[in-house]
Amino acid sequence: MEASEVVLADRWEPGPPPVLLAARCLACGDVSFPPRPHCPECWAEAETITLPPTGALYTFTTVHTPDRAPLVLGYADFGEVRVLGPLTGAAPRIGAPVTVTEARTGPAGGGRGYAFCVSEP
Amino acid sequence: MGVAYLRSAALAPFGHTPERALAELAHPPVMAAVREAGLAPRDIDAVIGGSYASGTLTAQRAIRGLGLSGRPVLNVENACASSAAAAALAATMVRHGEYRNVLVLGVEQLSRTGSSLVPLNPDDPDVRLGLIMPAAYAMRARRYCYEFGTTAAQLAAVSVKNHANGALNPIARYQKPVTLEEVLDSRMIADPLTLLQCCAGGDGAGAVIISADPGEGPAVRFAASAESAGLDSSGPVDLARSALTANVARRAYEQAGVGPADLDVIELHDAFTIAELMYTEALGLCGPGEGPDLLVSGQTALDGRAAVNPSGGLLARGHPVGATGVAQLAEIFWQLRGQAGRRQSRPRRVGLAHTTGGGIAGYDHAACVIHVLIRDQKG
Repeated sequence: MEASEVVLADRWEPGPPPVLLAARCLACGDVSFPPRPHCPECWAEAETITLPPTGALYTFTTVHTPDRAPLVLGYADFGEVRVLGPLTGAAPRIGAPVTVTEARTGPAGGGRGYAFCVSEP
Repeated sequence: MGVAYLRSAALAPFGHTPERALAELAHPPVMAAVREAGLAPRDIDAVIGGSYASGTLTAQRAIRGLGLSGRPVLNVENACASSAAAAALAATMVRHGEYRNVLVLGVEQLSRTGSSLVPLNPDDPDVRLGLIMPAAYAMRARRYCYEFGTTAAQLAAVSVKNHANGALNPIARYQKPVTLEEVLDSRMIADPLTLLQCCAGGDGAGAVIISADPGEGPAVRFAASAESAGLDSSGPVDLARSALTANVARRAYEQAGVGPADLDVIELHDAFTIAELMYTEALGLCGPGEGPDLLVSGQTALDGRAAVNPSGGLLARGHPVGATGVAQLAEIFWQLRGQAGRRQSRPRRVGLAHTTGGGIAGYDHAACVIHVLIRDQKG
């Protein structure tokens, strides 16, 4: 993987500031992640929107595997959608505010990916 | 509509055998299941194989040399629920009357993938972010503990129970009891889940015959076979509860005309300790957050009112992914027929087998299958 490659480029923009992208249905208003040309509920045309820059941490874990450094992963709620991402910043706690940031991502840690920075309590 | 019976079941020991060929794993249980059904190869009308990550045409490779080709041979891949889904398909084929005897084969050889982890699709967006199955369930566990005040020791108690059961199961991969301290002190995999709270993949094979004729001995009937994929949704899915299992269970109970209070024995998908707590709740054995109390009450113990995972479950029997569904059906079959050996604490009449799982981005789970089996009174 090229170090400059943007990982999962269909679902975020590095910015600045980095933002998550989503789909909003032009007919029924349903918001879904990631962006798609159509609404997954009613199949009408959907537009790409940016999600709020701040989310709330729903759950998290630290993954220990022999082949890499511990990885902290969590789900955070950004508006109407719940998104998985690596966590950075302060020690995670459920309900903590998080902001979208950029971090090295991918199995080899080589690409530019999104992460969620946990705010200090 | 006809009736489908579980006529025979056989399992090979689960373990780690990369040196053996796939057919070597599969032949003993396939031959045993056909013989124990009182049938010959020519009596088998179709073969359905369930496997997940053991290559293509698994069933054809597994039955080579057994005189079972030259008829419909199908392969079902649905992650952890592969052979459970194969059995649901076979039961439907038999009920419709076109097939009398269908052999369902569950077989998996994960030792040859070179990893102790259940392999996931490397192109999956969540996998690219570093998700592995223990992490997915660890995040469920974290949320569950947050909402219900459950402790690490309450999670670990599931592993103690299931390893104690596995110690009585001659085909289980792990046949050694473990203490609460050993579970809690084992290596952290994805907090709060330690190694002994995670199932191991490995290798295994099993076969069942699903038939229009119950054969000799007590008749064990498929009273329900319900299944569904999970919902593909980015909305706020509740990770402390399993809506998918609850929905499939509701349909299974309707089909079978029984409720959770009627169940005598249950094999459920305890891929991780948290999973057994969540699924006992989703199956309606207790309310949300009450799984730890149910466990402590002893009602789900081997000698309890409704034994849960008497085989040792995925945690102790092991989880060669594609073989798990058939292994669950085999344990229920033996428990209902009074043939479960040292794991038979009392007569059991109504059994349930629940398989779910599959890590795929956007879905709460890839698939869930629930079978309800009932031993008819005349037996």
